[in-house]
Amino acid sequence: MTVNVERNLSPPGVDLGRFPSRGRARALALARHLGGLVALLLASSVVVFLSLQLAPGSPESVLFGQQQVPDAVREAVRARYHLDDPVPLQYLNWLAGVLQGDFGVSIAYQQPVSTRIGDAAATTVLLAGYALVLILLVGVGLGALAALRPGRVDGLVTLLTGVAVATPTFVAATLLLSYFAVELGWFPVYGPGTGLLDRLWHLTLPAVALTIWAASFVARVTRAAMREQLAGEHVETARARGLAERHVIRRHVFRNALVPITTVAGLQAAGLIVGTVVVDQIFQLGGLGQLLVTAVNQSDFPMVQAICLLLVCAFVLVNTGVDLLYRVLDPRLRAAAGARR
Amino acid sequence: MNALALRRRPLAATSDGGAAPLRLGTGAKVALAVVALLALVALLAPVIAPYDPDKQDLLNIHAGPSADHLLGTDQLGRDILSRLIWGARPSLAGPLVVVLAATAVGVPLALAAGWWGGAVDTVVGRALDLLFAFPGILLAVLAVAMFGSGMVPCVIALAIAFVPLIARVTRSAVLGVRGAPYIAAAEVVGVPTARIWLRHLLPNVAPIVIAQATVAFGYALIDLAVLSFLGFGVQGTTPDWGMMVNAQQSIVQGHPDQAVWAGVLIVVAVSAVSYLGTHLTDRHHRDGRDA
Repeated sequence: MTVNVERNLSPPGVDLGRFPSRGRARALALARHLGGLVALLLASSVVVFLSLQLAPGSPESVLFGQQQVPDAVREAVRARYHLDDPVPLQYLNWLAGVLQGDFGVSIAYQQPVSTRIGDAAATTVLLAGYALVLILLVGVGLGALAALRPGRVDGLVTLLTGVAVATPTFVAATLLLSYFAVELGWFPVYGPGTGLLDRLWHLTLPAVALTIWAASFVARVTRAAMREQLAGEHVETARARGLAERHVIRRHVFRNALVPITTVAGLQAAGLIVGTVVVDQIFQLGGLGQLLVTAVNQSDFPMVQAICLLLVCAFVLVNTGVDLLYRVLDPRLRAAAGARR
Repeated sequence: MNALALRRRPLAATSDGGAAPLRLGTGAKVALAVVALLALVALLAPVIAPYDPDKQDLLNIHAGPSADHLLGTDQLGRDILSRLIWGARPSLAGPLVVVLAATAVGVPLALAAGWWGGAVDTVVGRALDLLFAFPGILLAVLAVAMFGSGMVPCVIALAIAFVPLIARVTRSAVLGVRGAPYIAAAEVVGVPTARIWLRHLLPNVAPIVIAQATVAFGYALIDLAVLSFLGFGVQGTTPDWGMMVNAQQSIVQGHPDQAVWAGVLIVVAVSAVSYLGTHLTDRHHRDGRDA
């Protein structure tokens, strides 16, 4: 972006009046975008923090349950979790900690939340990344195949994706587990595995479970977008000019279809964040999802706060990233945004 | 369930032809029939379920399909078919409440935002953006962490999370109608705003709201099933499709029957509803273009 602004400012060209203002408008639009993003993230953190702070049942009641505890111990615990501070101060303290990677102390494990979360997050990110690669390969592949081969192939793909698109991830995961892990024994039933290869093998069935629904969504959009381009006049023109079909498909059909494909793939990537929670729990992978479910059941509030915040932030960031990518892919949107804002 | 009857009226009333009957394609008719059938099963559960869904028969666990138990029995010897039939109740009523509540909150918000614009629109828009940042399931998990597991916190949290889904579509529909000559005419003549909303605005945005609510029903069904599956939703022995899919121990022992059947029912219900929703949305856009 900055490069653009500078380039637009420097040439003492004909459009001197127009270029700088446009560059500035674009920088301004980006700044507003980022400002909105920060505001959204802060607001989400307030919601996450407050919802659990206002929850009935304080941390000390979770810790001690029904047992009688000396007042001094109770005081110490309240001090440790800063429970006697006013709520806004508690929030600021928490936020300051979070920004430094300190999510407080887990009530259930009596360890810093961050030590527990680190490993789990790595597993979740690996799983989501694995699934995203599969989703893009299978989704775009199937969609393109259906678009370019009308008739039987197209019909088959449409039928398959039609069923898959109505299959929720947790149902797919359960069925895959039951068939490929239990019945056939091709894949491990539980656990995250050790070492990268073993880990990937353990993550394969979960990743496939995440892929089924999302990939069929991507396939359907890819098919529709490519069909629309194939029927376009620019494609006819390109063919009439004698360009190689390969070139036409790649540069004129696929390139233009990328905008809707990216949008839907981005939505799926954001959806994966919740999807991993479920799959993680089913296959007991020890990722953030399993940790979250356990923490909720144990009323481990600092843990729940931390994981919810991480997941919401990831969700918001992915969505913003897609929005930006969208502008990169479609220059028309960039111009429109610059002109409007 | 009863919403089906409700859905019919505004649709027919607002078709541009005036007296045009409800036109549905063959696929949509099949989908509607499937939804109606499932709703009927839920309503008539006490009558048609062959067994008490909670009656255990520990001497007859994991039995295969037989004349006595058409779909076999589960890990406690309970009749799977009866549990599926009773499970239709929470599985369908839950999303219905979610969608009705989200619509009841989202539509007035969207009407206000689209009608007055300006500051109202900005405030509503920002609030919806914030809600949109929370995946519904995550909001429900937060609610469960606050108030404990159960259908009520899950349904309320999802209803809140679904408000933007309804409100955004409604707002843009309102914007589309806002500038129409007949609205301007009504304003000039001095028709009270409330009356314009009820007589002109609502009937015109109703078809797209209903289409969107139908699509949302499918999402809500999945989300609630996921929550029950995770153990946050329906509690105790009450059968629920989502909960029935979570039969981990039986599955590991090689008895996935109840999980498979419950999963199939979820898939069937969701495909029927989303087919219907997509069909209604498409038709609305088509009608809009014709007019």
